[in-house]
Amino acid sequence: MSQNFIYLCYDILQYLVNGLAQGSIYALVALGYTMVYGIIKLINFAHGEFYMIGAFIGLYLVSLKLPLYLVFPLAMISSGLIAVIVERLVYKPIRYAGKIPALITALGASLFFQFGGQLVIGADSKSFELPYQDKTYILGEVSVTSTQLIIMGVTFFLMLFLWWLVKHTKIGKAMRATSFNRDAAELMGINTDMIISFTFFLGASLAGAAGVLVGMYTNTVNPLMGMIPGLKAFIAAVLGGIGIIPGAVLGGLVLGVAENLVVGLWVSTYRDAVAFAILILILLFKPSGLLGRPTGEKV
Amino acid sequence: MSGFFDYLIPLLSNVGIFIILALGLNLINGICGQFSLGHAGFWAVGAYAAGAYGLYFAPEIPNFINLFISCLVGMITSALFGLAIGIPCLRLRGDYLAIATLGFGEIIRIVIMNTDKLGGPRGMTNIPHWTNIFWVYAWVILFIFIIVNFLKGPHGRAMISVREDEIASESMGINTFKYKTMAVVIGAAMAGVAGALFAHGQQFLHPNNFTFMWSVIILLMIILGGLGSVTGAILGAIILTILPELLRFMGTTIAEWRMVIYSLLLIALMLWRPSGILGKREINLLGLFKKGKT
Amino acid sequence: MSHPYILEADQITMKFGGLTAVNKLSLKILPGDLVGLIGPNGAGKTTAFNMLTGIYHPTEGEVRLLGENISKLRPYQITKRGVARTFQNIRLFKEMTVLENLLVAGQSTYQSGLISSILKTSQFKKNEEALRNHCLELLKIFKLEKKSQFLSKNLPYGEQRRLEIARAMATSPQLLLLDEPAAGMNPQETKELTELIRFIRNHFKMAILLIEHDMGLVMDVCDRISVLDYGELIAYGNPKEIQNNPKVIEAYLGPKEEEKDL
Repeated sequence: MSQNFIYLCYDILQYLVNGLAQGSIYALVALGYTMVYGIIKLINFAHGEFYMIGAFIGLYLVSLKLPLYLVFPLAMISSGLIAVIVERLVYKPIRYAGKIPALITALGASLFFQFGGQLVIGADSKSFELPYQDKTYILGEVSVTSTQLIIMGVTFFLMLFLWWLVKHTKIGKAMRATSFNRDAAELMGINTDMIISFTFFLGASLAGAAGVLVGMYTNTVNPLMGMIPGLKAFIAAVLGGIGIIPGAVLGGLVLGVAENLVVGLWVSTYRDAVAFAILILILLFKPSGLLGRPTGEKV
Repeated sequence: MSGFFDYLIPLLSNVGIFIILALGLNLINGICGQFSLGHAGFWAVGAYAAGAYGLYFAPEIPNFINLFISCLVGMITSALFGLAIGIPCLRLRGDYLAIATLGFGEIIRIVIMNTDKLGGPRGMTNIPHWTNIFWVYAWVILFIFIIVNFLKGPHGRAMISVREDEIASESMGINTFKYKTMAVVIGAAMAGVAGALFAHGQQFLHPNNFTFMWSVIILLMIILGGLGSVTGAILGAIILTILPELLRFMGTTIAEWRMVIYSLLLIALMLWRPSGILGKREINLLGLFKKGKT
Repeated sequence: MSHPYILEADQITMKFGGLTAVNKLSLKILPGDLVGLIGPNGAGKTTAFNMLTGIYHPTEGEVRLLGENISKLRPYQITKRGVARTFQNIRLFKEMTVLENLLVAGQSTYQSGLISSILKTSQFKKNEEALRNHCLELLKIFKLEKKSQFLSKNLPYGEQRRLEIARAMATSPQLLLLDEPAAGMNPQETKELTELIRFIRNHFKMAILLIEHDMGLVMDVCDRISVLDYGELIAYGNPKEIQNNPKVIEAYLGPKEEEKDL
């Protein structure tokens, strides 16, 4: 085998590692999109903003020299609470007005946080100082940083937690019931308003964790940082099959890897186009997503 | 006094350009009911096509002829993009269509960003200055005339029926796919002209002039005026082009708050007046919208 | 060779994933026929309708309109060939006037070009005038002419049902498919509807296929009846035969079914 081919393989492995780290972050954000869509059929455009809020809270807490095992839960809870406030104030009154008004409202909420954030904390990027020494481990020609390992570890842990919560707790069962048929769940005595708020809380707290992770990964945060990753995470959710929890994870990882392969093997300036191209392909050829089943409009 | 006109005339030109953009998006979103979030993409295509014509191809002929040709170039290029994007995307509905068009809008911008001939990330400079307020409003009036007559005829009716109920419309013998595509192509063509007028007015184009944010602002214009209302779209375009200037007079702080105010306006409209200022009604100036006799 | 049947469904089957909604259904409709399609809830009646009108394409089998295979055509193409329908859950163009609802349906017969409609040529005006007269005529027949300028969403329920039939008639069909036209109607309204269906058939000399839950209505107006259960045709014949068919009685009164369907 030629030398070049071996180097190419190493390169591809390296892109896979970077892609999995990036993809884990997309997956965390995508989970919130998918859960909210699953339960109230709303594309929550503002979801990316909870990720941004999480990153800023994380930045603040790290600057207070709090240890990471406190930074994550606190950032997650605060993002989650802000999401619940938004849900109660804005999304709840519009819930029965139809898909498009809800979508526009979500768009408005998203812009509010982006530009409100710029006014309150300034439009420029802030640097995110790591509270630990970042080490690089090298295996053969492939390197992996301790931050990347933390990202994958935290993501894995949170997914296990989510899986346990949804499958093995009472509130998880209520969430599944509400998502399956809200009216029936309501009739069975489930407080669906509470479940919907809880879903927002859960989704936004996962996004908040992703925000802290991405702050650590890229060492910079800014008020507009949520927009593009938010859209990409939505694409990841659609790719996996919107409303399907494992689908969001799969979609996030696939998207992260695909992006890194394109950037590594082709041109970096098309990074953001990869996701949109994937979105359009999936919508055209399998709109129900990789793990979804086709559905049609009932006549 | 001349200083005031130097300020006013470009502003009124911009109002005209946004009226054309809003009328086009209103046809797609308001009349035909196909929710698009990629209008800035069509605008960009028209602007860059016209800019490229002005920079590389324009012969030595009077400016107003060149402007006319440039507008046609922008219109046709943008319409072709509308066709190419519409045919695959219009199989989708509702929120999925919105996301797909948003995706296409962003892809267009990223491709421009990566194309050297179009100036790439530095932007396209030295575009000849051909636009003046007269030609902007000539196009505005032409488009209003076309749309008003279009809506009163069978094709407009068919488009509205698609918005009202696509399945019923198809079952009544309407080729719904054709009408959806037609709405997107005409809307894109209009955005293309708006782009050409914009390019030859600003003389400078940058990919960041055409972000998703502008798609949202144009959308806000037609929602504010009343989705589906032609006069509403015009009213919305006027208000949202003048408003930021008024805010600027009130001091820079408020201008900085512009997008925050817009976002709250969007939410407030959805919560309290989702049908906009006019709803689906029309302001009946000059009896333009008089119903035919029955 | 001429085709004796207007519409012929030949062993049509519709599968959604693993579920077979309609299994090898065959139907034949002669010109001027008034055929009923009945069956308990979930028997596949509406699915069958959707296959006949092109909203679904049958997984197997063929639908023929005057001998031409239409199973792959889109709904608008089938409508243009002379099949019109109404919907179980009224689908009017709500924000359009009563007259406009009919104009949309009628306009494929009086089509004008895009350019001529923008420039308002005399040909266009003549076309529009003819279309308008045709639709007003229909509104008169359906006793809706006084409400021609009302938004269709503002009509009372019974009139919305009637408008939906009038709209279907505006496409100048040879065959009319009615999907539960009596749903939600009181006995008085149902009686009027029965008269209306008879009238349409005699006045327009056309074939009608009727899905209905209201047995009285079906037995009253239909010449022949097909009975579906669990996606399969279980009986076929005139109303008398159907009433005495043990399979039909079992499908409706069998241990698993509720009596309300009768």
